[in-house]
Order: sequence, then structure tokens, then C-alpha cells
Amino acid sequence: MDVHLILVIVIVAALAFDYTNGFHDTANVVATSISTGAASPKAAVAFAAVLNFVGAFISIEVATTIAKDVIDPQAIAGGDSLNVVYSGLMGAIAWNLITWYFGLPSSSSHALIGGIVGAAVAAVGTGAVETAGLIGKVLVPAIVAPILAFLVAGAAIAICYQIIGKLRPGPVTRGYRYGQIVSGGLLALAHGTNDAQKTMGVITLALIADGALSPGSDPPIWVIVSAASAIALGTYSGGWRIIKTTGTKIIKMDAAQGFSAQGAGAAVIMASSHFGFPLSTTHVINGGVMGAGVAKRLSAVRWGVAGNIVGAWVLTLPAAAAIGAFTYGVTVVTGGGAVGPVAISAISLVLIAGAFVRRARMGAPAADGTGAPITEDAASLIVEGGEVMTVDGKPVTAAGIAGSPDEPGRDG
Amino acid sequence: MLAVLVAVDDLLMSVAASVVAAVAVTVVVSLAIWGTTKYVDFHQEGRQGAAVAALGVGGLGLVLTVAIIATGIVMMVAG
Repeated sequence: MDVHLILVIVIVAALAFDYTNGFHDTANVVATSISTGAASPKAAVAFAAVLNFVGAFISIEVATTIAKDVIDPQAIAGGDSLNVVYSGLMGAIAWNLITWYFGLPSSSSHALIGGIVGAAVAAVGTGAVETAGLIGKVLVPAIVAPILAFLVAGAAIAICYQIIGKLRPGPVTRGYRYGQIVSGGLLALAHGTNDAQKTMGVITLALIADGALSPGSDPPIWVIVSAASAIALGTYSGGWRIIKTTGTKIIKMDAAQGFSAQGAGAAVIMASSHFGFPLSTTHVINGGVMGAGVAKRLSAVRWGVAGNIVGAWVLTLPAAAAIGAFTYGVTVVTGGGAVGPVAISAISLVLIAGAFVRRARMGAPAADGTGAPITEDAASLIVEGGEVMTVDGKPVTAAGIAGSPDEPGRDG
Repeated sequence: MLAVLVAVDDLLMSVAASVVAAVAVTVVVSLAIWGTTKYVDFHQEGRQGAAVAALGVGGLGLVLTVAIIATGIVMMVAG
């Protein structure tokens, strides 16, 4: 009974993590489309939510990496194996909450992997860690991918300007806005493909640890559907929050830059997903945004923010690992059964509610001025942040583009 | 040591696929925009032959855009 209760708690926590991942990442996925006027906020968010859902069904390579190549499922198999997975998840969720509260940019994906590795090491030692998988499939791609997105986006925008440089700006802008509908859709699809699979991988790992699945099994269909639904719901919810708060400051890019940044991000994430590399989609998208920005003007990039992202990247894995290990220690102290996870979950819920209330009273985090969680929204800070976002010269307000059918009171 | 741990072939394939896909889509979309914009310009200048050629380039860009994206997604789904 205890074991199944822990399994249920792990699955709920994993899906909650997936939901918050979609919630946080909405800004990254839709920011450039909205800021260049390629899509209205409502349409961009709805489109992103649907494509995040669809993307989760495209591949299971990343889920396989999480379930088999980061830690050895058989090494943690045993009495409290589910507590290891649970502790890893709590390490990731806690680190996300801490970074959100203090306005630090970080990666949910790295927090998840760090948390699980930390809990596994605390439980059975370093022998549980699949060193080759962790380095070869997580750490190296984590460094390569954002740099690659940066370079590819820079090359792409240079090609764009080379081909369309002397044309009339009006049709060109309209053309790239149409192009952004495609590139933005691909980015959402890629995001769903890579990020939803991380949750699938964790749930699969828990099911293997529980004995419900045999080692080496692929994620069952109900796991895929539930992870896809959670990230899509999170994207949609996060989007509405952003629409309400984004009247404000976002990237100032032209449509060609937005197209290049999104196209580069989508290409890197999809190619990496195909080979089973669990990336930080946030870092990749940020890399693309920076590449598209710097190709036009070096000073367009807010290098201080980029530096913060690198700093947070370095800190995230060890910090989430430490919290995961500590959480596992608490589950051991409380007897190794369901008592620990139940108590930790209850305390966490109270702390999360308290943090939300306190943050709401304090107002928006200063770093971006949007009020949205900072942890995964840093893309909106990198290139020429701080200017009021406009579409066709009209400011994007709390509920859409001023004077457009999206404005409150105009859509019946 | 690092080369042993890292699946170098997969990483290089991933890098190559990213570069090829992003650059290819950028080129064909830009050609589509170039073609449709120049079609209007040439048409207004009365250069019908050039306008038709530009429209052909634009149309080819659109077709190739759809083809490249569809190929990429099919390859991913096929594993």
C-alpha cells in the first residue's frame, strides 16, 4: 500500500513538474512571434499549447535517456527506490521554486536531472550514476546546443538579410511574419517533444523502480498522453498569465530575426530530441535569440543577462542534486515508507502557496518586470528588453494588441 | 576520455542536422519572400517575363519549405 501511494505521489509530482515546465516556457516559445506581430497573443499561446501536445508524441528517445542513461534503474531498485525518484523530483521542483522566487534564470531540465542524480547518489552511491550517459547525453549537449543555436541563428539571419536586403520592407516583414507562424509552430512542437519526454522518462523510471514495468521498457501510452496533456495545459495557463502581464517589455526584433531565432531553436531541439539528448530548451531558445540579435548589432544583446544564465546553469545541477539528496535523507529518517513523501509534499504545498502569496504581495520580480516566473523566461530579457512591445505600432496591452479584436470588449 | 563517454557520432549528426535544417528552411523561405515580392515589383514595372520567373522562384521556395519540414518530421516520427 505504501509503495503504491508513493508511486501515485511520484506520478502526480512529475505531472505537476511537467505542468510548471509548460507554464514557465510559454514565454520562450511565443515571445518572438508576439513581439514581431506574427501572431496575436491569444493565437500564439493556443497554437503553442496544441503543438506542445502533439510534439510529445513524435519521439521517445529523450524519455529513454532519462529512464535508462542518467542513472541505472536496477541500481536503485529495491525497497525505497520510489523515494529516490520522488526525492529527485522534489529537488527539481524546490530549485525551480527558489530560482523563481529570487528571480534567477535557470533550467527546469537541468534541475530535474540534477535532482535525480543527487537522490540516487545519496541512496546507493556514485555507482548508480551512468557516467557515460550523464556526460555524453546530458552535459556535453547542454553546452553544445545553446552555442549551436547561437551560431545557426546568426548564420540564418545573415542569409535572410543577404537574400532580401534590397527589397521593400513592407512585403518582407509580412513574409517573415507568415514564416514565423511556421517557425513558431515548429518551436512549440520541438519544445513539446523534448520537455514532455523528460516527465515521461521520470514516470517510466518510477514504474520500473516499482516493478510495474520491466527494465528497458518504453513509456506506456498513458504516460505519453498524460505528460503531453500536462505540458499543453501548462503552456496554455502560462500563456494567459503572460498575456495579462506582458503589456510591457519583451524582445524588440524584426520579423526576420524572430524567424531565424525560432527556426534555429526548433532545428537544434528537434535534432537533439531525435538523438535522445535532453536539452534545456530555454537555453537553446535563448541562444537562438542572442544569435539573431548579435548578427544585427552586438549591443542589442544584454550580455549581463546572458552571464546570469550561464551562472545559473553552473549552479543548477549541483544545487538540485543537493536538495534531492537532502530530501532522500529526510525520507530515510522518516522510515523510508510513504510517511516522508506525504509529509514533504504537504509541507512543500504550504511553502509553495506561501511563496506565491508573498511574491504576489511584493509585485513582479524586478529582473523582467513581467511578473511571470523568471526561471524560464529569460529569453525576453536578452535582446533589447525594456521597450514596450508593439505590434503594427500598437502597444500590446494586458489582453492583447490595443485596438485589435483581441482587446477586451471587442471580442464579445 | 571525453570522446569515449560522448556519443560523438550522434552529437555530430545532431549538429549537422540542425545546421542543414535551419539554413535550408531559412534559404527557401527567404527565396519564397524574394520571389513573391519581386513578382509584384516586376509586374508593376511591366516586366511580365521577369515577374513570372520571380513567381516561379517564390513558388519553388514555398514548395521546398513544406517538403523540408515534412521530411524532418517524418524522419523524427520514424525514429
